[in-house]
Amino acid sequence: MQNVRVEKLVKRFGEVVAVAGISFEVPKGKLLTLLGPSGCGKTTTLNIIAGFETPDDGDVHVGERLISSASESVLVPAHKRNLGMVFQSYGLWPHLRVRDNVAFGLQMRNTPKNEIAGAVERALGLVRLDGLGERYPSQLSGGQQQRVAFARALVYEPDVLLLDEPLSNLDAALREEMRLELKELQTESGITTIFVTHDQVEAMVMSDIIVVMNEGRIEQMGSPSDIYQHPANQFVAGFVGISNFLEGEVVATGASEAQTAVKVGEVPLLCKSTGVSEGSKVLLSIRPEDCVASLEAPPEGTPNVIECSVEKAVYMGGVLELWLNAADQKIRVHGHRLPLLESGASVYVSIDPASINAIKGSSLS
Amino acid sequence: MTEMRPRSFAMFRLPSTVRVLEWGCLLVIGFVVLYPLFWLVVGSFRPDPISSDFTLDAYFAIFEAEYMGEVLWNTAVMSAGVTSLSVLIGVPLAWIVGRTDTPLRNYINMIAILPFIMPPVVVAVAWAYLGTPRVGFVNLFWKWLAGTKEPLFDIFTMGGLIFVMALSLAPYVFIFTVTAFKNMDPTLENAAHVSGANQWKTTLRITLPMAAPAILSGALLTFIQSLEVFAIPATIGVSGGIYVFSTQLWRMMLGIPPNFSHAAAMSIPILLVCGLALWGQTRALGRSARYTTVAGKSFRPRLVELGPWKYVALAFASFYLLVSAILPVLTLIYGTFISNRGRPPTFEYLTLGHIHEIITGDGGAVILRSIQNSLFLSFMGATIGIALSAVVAYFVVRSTWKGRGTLDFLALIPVAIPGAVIALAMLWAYIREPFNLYHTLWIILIAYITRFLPFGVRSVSNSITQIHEELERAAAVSGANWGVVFWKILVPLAMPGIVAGWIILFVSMMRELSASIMLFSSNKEVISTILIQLYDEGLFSHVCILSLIIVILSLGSVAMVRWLTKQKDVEGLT
Repeated sequence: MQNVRVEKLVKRFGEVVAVAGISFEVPKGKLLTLLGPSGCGKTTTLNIIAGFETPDDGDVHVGERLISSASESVLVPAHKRNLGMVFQSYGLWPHLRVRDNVAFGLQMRNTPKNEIAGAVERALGLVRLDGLGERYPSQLSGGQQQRVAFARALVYEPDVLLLDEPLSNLDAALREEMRLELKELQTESGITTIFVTHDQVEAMVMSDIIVVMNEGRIEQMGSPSDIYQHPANQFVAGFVGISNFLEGEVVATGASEAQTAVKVGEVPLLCKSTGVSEGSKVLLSIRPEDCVASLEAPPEGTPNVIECSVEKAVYMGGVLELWLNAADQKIRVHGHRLPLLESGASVYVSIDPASINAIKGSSLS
Repeated sequence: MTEMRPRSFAMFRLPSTVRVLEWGCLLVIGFVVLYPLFWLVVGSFRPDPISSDFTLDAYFAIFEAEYMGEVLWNTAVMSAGVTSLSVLIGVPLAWIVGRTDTPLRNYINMIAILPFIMPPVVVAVAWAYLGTPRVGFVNLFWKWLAGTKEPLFDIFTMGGLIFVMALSLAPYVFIFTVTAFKNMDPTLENAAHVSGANQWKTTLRITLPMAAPAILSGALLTFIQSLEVFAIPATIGVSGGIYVFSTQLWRMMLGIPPNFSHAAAMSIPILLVCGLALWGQTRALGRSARYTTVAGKSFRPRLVELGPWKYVALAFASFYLLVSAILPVLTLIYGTFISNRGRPPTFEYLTLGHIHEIITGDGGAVILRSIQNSLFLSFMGATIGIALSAVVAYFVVRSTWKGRGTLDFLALIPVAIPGAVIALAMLWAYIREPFNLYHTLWIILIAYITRFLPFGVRSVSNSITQIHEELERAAAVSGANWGVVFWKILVPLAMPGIVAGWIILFVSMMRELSASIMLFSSNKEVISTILIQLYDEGLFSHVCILSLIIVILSLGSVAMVRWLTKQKDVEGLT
């Protein structure tokens, strides 16, 4: 088990900069997720680490071993990097039995035959596929193929496990199940893992560290709760979960947490922020589920109450999805235990100051 | 454990080994394809193969030669006629199969494999027997039916030549066009209907224009083939005194002494025309791919309901199959078993005597030897050819090397070289030091491999394209170096394509004529050259037996290839 260090990685495809000098570190035994929309450079980054793409600049270390460095002209070929990888479409070899698929990596490492059999059995047991070794991949279900891919990647105890959107080919129910199973597997085996996905829920559930990427750059890096609760900028707030954005101006900075006063149009709101100065423009990010909507005015003294008019209301089962006009800006709110409201009706929305993030210097884009 | 690497190093391959292999492959292919062509060009400027003088005499000579005008005119009329007639046959057939509710259209679709089952040489001899004015079977039938003494037609005319060539080549137009028709997005036509166009307007304004690049692509390939096919002009054309480019080339080489320089000089302009046509063909094909929705999305294109007209469509398709395949094959079967040509096929006149004659060697020794030679050449040629093709296809499809485009182009060139011209170029190149291959089977072998290389490459590369790159990457991550990835992952997965390619090469070589006829020597005959020889000698039953052998071999191979491609589907390769 090793940590992975990626330093100032750059990859260009002609004019397009796919990866623009990113750096991050995966601590030993942790799972780091590269999260971002398609084309953000996450897969390119993974392919550079795996050895399928040649970086234009930057270094990659696995433990103390330099496996890729543009400046020092080091490029260890993929087959000598001792990594495990699970591919989007699994990449199981259709002409080999499950057993031989799993054994392949050990054969490449010249493991003695008698040891291979045992190791393959253990690996298949680990992913709960005992007894299916004689099958061909095409005779397995999608979820089972997925597990074979894991067994194949883990059997030779690689330094690092790379996961390239491994859940995206599964249907929704199975995906949810595999998510948890995968996380358990990773924690149990304690293998350092880099996971690539565009699915924020997947990233939330599985990661120790999330790296949010956009246009080849890192927008934010942190724990899942950090990313969700304290998005560093509008992109992160918008990409991870749904967010409302309100433009405002700081009127007073408070002494304690969640005491910054911001004026949105004529409506004063309290929110949390760090390092904003009076008079500066900020962008408030508010999650729909953090808003409490009610037909009657909340009791006196409740902070951040906005009277809004309903523009559109859609019944969604458990919640009423409301599009509201608040201080001449649009917000989206999840209403609980409310009747189906007509457009034009008026509702009160209150928001806990601690769940409003003021992102400095931003304007709505 | 780190390694130095060149900057352009790509993927997981060991740079040194792979780069060496890539260069080696490029050099081999470059040599095989370009070396003979180089000598052909040089040869056209020399008075004879031994001399090293430079002269333009050959060009002036063919320019002034009296036969030249006639040969050029014949070639132009033939190519234009064959191409047009092939389009007139192939496009409606493709539409019938691809887009209408004509009954039995799945059987009509067999037209696509017709060129593979019925090589030109077989169609040619069969139609020579069917269409002779006095005793041709079709004419005899006509005379009996109409009660006249006038034959319906004479096959040994320009019209007959064009007719038989178009029968043989129309499938090329069909194949390209039917693919375009089948892959067309039905919403484009539905949009036309919604906009108020009726069925015919939609077909004329939307469907056909969208298929136009594919039709053009098929037509240009047919054009190249019309210059390339030798068997039909050599039998039907020559019997009628009509000489075209390929047969003229042959006549020059048969002369005593053979006129190498004039033949070389005459080949150059034809080579240019073919090259131009191939360039246009690949462009049209690229265009066609943009117009049709390729792989991934699967839908059934909307079928046009023809009503009672569907029987007219069926009749048209059946008639084509009758004249292009059924009548010729019946002729061959008749000739194989009938005791004397002209006898009615009743039991008392049937005999196994002709087959017996060949097997026991009574005048059949040459035939047996030619079959042996053909088997040897085809086996060796297909094996070497497919091995070369596999490596070329791998680099062309998977390599990120800059030279891959050149490799791809080089391996395609032979498509545009008529077999007779390849043979001529080979003669110029390999009869001299350091090769000295004249009068050997080896020169034929090299010619076969060169000629059919593009087909082998296409077969294997189709197969490799379908193998998901993740399968190779997974092996590399697991610790497999380039060689292991190639042998343990790629070759087994591409095996159906490799075997199918081998069979295609084998069959193509078994019946190759246009290069063989220029390169064979005594004791070094092959099946097709013997076939032409027997035809010239008027040995009806022997010609039929040999042709039938070719047809049966071809049919068996088609069945094998089909079975192999099905296997591939079952394994679920993506």
